[in-house]
Amino acid sequence: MAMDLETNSADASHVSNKNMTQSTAYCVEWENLFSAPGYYAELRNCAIRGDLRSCHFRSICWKLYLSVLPEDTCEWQAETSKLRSKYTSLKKKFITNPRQEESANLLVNHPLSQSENSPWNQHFIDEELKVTIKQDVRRTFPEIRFFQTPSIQQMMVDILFCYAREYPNLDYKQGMHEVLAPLIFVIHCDQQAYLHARDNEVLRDPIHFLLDPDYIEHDGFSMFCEVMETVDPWYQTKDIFPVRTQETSMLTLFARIQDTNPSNVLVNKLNRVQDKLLKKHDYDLYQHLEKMEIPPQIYGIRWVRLLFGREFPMQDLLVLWDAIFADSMSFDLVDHMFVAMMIFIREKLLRSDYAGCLTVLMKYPPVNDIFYLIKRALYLRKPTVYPNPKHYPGQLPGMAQPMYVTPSAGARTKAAAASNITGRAASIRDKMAARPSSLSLRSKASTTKDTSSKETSRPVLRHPLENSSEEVVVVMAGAEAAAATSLPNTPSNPNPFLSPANAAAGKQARAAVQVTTATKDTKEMEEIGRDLEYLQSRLTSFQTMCSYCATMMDTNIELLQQTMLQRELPLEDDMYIGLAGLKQVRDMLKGTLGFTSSVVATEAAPPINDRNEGQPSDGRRQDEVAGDATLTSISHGGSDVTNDGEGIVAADDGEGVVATDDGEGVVDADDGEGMVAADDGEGVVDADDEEGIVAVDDGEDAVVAAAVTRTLGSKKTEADIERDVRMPGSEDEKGRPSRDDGDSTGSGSSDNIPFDAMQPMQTSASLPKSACRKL
Amino acid sequence: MSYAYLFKYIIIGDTGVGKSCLLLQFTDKRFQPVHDLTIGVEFGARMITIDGKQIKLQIWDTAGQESFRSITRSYYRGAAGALLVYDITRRDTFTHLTTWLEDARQHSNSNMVIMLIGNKTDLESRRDVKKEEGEAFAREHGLIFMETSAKTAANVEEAFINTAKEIYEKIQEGVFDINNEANGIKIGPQHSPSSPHAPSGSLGQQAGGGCC
Repeated sequence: MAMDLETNSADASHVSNKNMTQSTAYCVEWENLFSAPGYYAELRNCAIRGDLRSCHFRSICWKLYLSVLPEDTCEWQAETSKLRSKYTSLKKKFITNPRQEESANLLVNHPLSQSENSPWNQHFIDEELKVTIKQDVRRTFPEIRFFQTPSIQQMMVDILFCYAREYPNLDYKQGMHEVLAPLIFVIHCDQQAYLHARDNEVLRDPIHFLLDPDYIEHDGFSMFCEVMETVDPWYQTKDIFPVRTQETSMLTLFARIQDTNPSNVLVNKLNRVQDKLLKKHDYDLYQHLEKMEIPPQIYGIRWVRLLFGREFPMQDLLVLWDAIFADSMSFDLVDHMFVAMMIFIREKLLRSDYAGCLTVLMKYPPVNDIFYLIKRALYLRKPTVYPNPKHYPGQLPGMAQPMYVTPSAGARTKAAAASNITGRAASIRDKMAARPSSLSLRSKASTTKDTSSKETSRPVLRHPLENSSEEVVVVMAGAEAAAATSLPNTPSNPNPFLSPANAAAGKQARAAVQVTTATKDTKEMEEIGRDLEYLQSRLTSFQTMCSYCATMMDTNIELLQQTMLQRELPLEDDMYIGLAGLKQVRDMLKGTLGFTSSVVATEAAPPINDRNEGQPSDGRRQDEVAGDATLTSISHGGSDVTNDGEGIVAADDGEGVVATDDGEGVVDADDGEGMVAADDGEGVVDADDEEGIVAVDDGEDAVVAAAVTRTLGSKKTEADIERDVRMPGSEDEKGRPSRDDGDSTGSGSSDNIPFDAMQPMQTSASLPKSACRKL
Repeated sequence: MSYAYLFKYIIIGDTGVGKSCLLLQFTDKRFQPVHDLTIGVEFGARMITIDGKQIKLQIWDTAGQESFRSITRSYYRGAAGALLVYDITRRDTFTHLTTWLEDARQHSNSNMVIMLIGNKTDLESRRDVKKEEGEAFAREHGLIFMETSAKTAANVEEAFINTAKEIYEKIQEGVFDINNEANGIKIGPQHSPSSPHAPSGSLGQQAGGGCC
């Protein structure tokens, strides 16, 4: 069975990955997974955490989740050989050749016999079934070479044929082949790893036995049967006609398509998911789809029957199946995954008309991190057990299509300089985010899907330094806000820095927990649970909206600013003040600037100083530090970007980002507790004052950096910065880990502003006093 | 984009006759030798011009296998046109046409325009159903007929457009009640003064008694 591995990117990197990790690692991995007493609970958690991504025994894990193997490892061999011999006998029974029948009765045993007992009769029916199956199997994952191998195709046909004969009630249904395919693929990958390890290590007996390449077909059949046991009802096609009472027949006049037409188990299930779950978690989206008259069966049948096999590239799909299988034998996660996927594309759907919605639903857009969706599904189902996953740039696929106008030739350098600020900050944050990196195979795997979804290409402002790879996580212009909030809290920090919305959610969760434990009244508990879930879903949609608004404002502000930089304008100062005001609103939307009642009430005082440890005059200090740069505006506690001379000066004092583009470069300075990054002259100056990272890269002009950094002032190269970023807190005076500015503000002031932030902003009232003073 | 009419189509026929490939060729102008199997339904849309008017086609591509029949049936009702496809290299797909036709007639509105399509003319050497047979079948059952190749794109445009023309003529004749969306026809959202020829209420009223 010569597999063409090299031509398949998925296989190739899978195997090469293994090459590197093997010495005794293979056996150690086995021990770690299956040896500890009570290993099974941990094994399930592994899958739900997404830790099986590069596991060499995924098929064994799946067998355990699917109850193909019992928990007791001692029984594995016996159970496996039982199942294997069962398949062998099934195959012998069903795949027959009437020519070799021993029956000597030539009256019955000949091809033209009309007798029902004639082996030829069954033979012709079988041949027809095989042709039907083969026709579909040939079309299995056309983009993956592995499935085009004739031997694999034949194996799949045999498995599906035996299944159809063994379970005649269900027979063969289109789609089953795509349920089988990933199972075979996983077994195959594990066997390849085994073959390789066998040459390098002394392996334990059960490994030899369980991963014997001669039994890929047998094991595939066993696993397929178990999966089908759960999925079976979703393939049943028996019509269920809606019961017509007098009342309902009156209602049919106004009824929806899905309510009047005959349906089946799956259609009912899908309707339930939409009418109950989606309605609960995202009422707006639910209403939109109702209004559009898009019943879930249109796209949902494929989603669910194939367990999302067409919606994600293979490697992502496997991670998803890890979670679905491990979560429960009844694959309950599917329903919530369905809802999570809907909510993920909600912005696209809400903006689209009927045809647009269908296009998105039928060609699900690429997802950067499948694990995000899994986490979201888990959270939707049990918000008290699983945390709400934070946003990340891909969160809003295509929604923030910034109205980015290509700058004129003269404006280009400035535009580049300006985007440097956001771009560099984004790149630093991206590195810090340490998101579970999408698989190395993704790029190839997803491009095949990408080609069919042209609508996913969106205008992007990429960081000039990091656009070499095709699969760069797309950071939308100004969407750093989203990136910022996605930074994980470092575990060493006892006080997690919640974004305002998260803080609110957490608060409510705490409140709810207190109430429930106190009363122990189950009814009330359920009610509160429902309310909680509802509130959280509303909160999520608010969060999404805010980050979208912030992104759009960011883009447009930048555009305005760049345009203004081009010419000397009368009353320019007033315009910049206006811009600064808008930026403040943007920062509040982002969550980087706290919104308190004082912002609204106090016109005179600078909005936020509570975390600034009594240095209200920082604005001026920054001004002096910047030397020859003239600051036009400084936003306290938030972030601000202004134009200075030929560049841009941006200072976020206190807790935010301070970014200054001075001369030809960019200066980013985050004073107080955040990050300070400054790009001066031709280099980069990053200075984190007091408690954060201080990073300085100033290229040839090494002067400015030291001036900016008040306490540490060390000078570093770009490489140092990178290292610091990887080891946050290494330069930390007080031993506090450095963290993202978005989170940092949240911790300080966000607790008391959960919903207020959504209220209409009073821009003029909240304009920073310092900005006015300076001008 | 604005349009004068929107027509809903449905593509039906045995599995593997090239329904999805016809749709892909028509909407994307490309051919995929091995196409993903259609599970349930797929959807495509394209704008065409007939008689100087923009017409939007919304096309439902259905799964061929029997197991999906109960689901795909629900799409017949709202369709103004149907492409009934068979594979000229597989006779069984031709012999099943009667079943498909019965199904379509039973579940659709009586005015639905049905175009019979013999696909895969690029495989002439493997032809199993003569063109004349297709023509005869179409004549007998009152269908329009064409042979196409989704691979070479031969006649693909024509198949979709001729069906639309037929529907359009039926509207002109007042056969279709365009105010009843269950017929699979919708009047476009725009009726700007700039397009005086755009159909307006008069056509609809005229057609009012025509059907259903």
